Amino acid sequence: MSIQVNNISKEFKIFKREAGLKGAVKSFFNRKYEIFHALKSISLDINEGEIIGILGENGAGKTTLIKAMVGLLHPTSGSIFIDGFSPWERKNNFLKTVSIVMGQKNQLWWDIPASESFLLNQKIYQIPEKQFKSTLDEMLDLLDVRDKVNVQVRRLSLGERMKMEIISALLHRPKIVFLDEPTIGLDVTSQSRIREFITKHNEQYGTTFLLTSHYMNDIQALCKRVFIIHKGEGLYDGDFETLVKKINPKRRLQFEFSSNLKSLNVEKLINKPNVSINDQCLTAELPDNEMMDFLNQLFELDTPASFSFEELPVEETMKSFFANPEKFISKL
Amino acid sequence: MRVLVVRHISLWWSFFTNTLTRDMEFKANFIGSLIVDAVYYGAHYFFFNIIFSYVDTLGIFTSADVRIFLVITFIADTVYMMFFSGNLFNLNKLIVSGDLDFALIKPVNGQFIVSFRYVKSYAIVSLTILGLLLSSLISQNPHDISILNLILFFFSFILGQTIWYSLDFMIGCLTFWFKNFTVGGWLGHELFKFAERPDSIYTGILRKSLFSILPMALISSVPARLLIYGPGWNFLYWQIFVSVIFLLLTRIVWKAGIKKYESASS
Repeated sequence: MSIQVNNISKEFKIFKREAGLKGAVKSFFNRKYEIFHALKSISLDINEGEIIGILGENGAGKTTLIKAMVGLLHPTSGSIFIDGFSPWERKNNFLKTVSIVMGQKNQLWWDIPASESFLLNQKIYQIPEKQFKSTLDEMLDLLDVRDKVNVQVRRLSLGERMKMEIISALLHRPKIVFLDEPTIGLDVTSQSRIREFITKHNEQYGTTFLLTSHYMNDIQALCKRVFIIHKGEGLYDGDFETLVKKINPKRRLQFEFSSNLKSLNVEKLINKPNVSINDQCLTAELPDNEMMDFLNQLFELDTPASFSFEELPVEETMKSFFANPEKFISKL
Repeated sequence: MRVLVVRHISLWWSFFTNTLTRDMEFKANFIGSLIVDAVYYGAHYFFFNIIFSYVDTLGIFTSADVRIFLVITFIADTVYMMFFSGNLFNLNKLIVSGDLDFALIKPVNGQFIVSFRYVKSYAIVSLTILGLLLSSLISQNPHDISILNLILFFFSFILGQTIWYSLDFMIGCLTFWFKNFTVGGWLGHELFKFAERPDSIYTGILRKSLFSILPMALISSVPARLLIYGPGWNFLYWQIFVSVIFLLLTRIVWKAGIKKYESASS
């Protein structure tokens, strides 16, 4: 079940006014609007069984894109086809194959146990009894919430609630699942459990997942491919590892000197940017093409007690990217 | 068609059992709701008893007729509360908060979900009591109330509910355009006050409006007339015409509304 997004744009008419009572009175009689371009000519093709990350800052247009794909929002222009269906026609056969989980919204009823909402979804999606039981059993075990299924939703922790939301959304075994920040606010254990679950579900059923998340660990663990939106425009569509390398081609070197530093002439080395020394240990963050020269110079100075390379944390790389995406656009 | 009807009845039953399960979690709220209903209906009944201590008739309605009319109004109100009121009162909130997303994403007609998702289960108790009261008043009424009257009443009552639902639903849908229209819920509630009085007390343009643009007279007055006085075909045909038109309008307004729907940011 492939997804084809062709040049979609979405505009919202936004009411603008000055702050304060005067502004409120003025706008009551003379209302001013401006057009906000939430999506600008976005095109995207997603293959069946892919897990793709949709990345962008707050307000970049990620959720708008997802909502347009699932048929909740009508784009101002452009078209979307999901396995031949136009989402906003909202055909039942289409709606049975998709699902959405929103990390900041609940679709489960707070006052009753999640099991009651699952039963209701069984009726809505017309899930055969046998399939319902086996799918539910499997997911309760994988997400480790079997003992919570009959507890009122409002008494569950945030992590447990999110796991129940995911179960509710996947009970009918949709072919495409839109996950909008599913791990927001969760502890690392719950985040990790949800990531493992998504991976297994994708492998087992070939489900396509579209994921938005501000946690780069989610993206790194789950998505080979990412699509980046910035101010409503598509900036990048491709391999995540390659993107990270393009944004920050540096690696971190840790080099521990065996000789006393006072006897070595390290001044010219530590004057370089991104190089520092702490006790006997030198740390350098350099691109690969400079790294070998630098390492040779270190070896000429001293025999290392130890040395190692490591990739820079993805969170930091993406943070620097989102702080100033324009700076990196030419590299992409 | 038959399959579709069976599916929607089955879905409604699931909504009902689901909400009943929730309502029964809160005993005090459940019992309190029954008391509120009793006080509300009691106050209206008492009000008309006072009026009839001064006059003998209201238009063509005698004291006995008005009692039947009143109980029909209460039943109309209770049935409406049970099926629609909670749903439509929340429509504004659903649209503004973006929670409508969860109704639109389901493989069921979105209008059906937002109209029937919550069932005020406690209304069954009030409905049973009012049903018994109406049976008692019918047996005591001096008019000859036949089986045909009862059948016509039942049919007309459903049409009345359809009209009320359609009007309230369309008012609720205005939120799609006005972004926040909390007053819509109250507007529907206030309009029903015209239905709480027998149509015979209204005259002139107001009377014409209550049978056409704001057809509140068709909600309980016409069913009461058909029950008490027997076949009034003109009333019935008009009621059928208005309910079909209003119901079709809800479909048009809903479809246009969801095109305008902007959801809410995450």
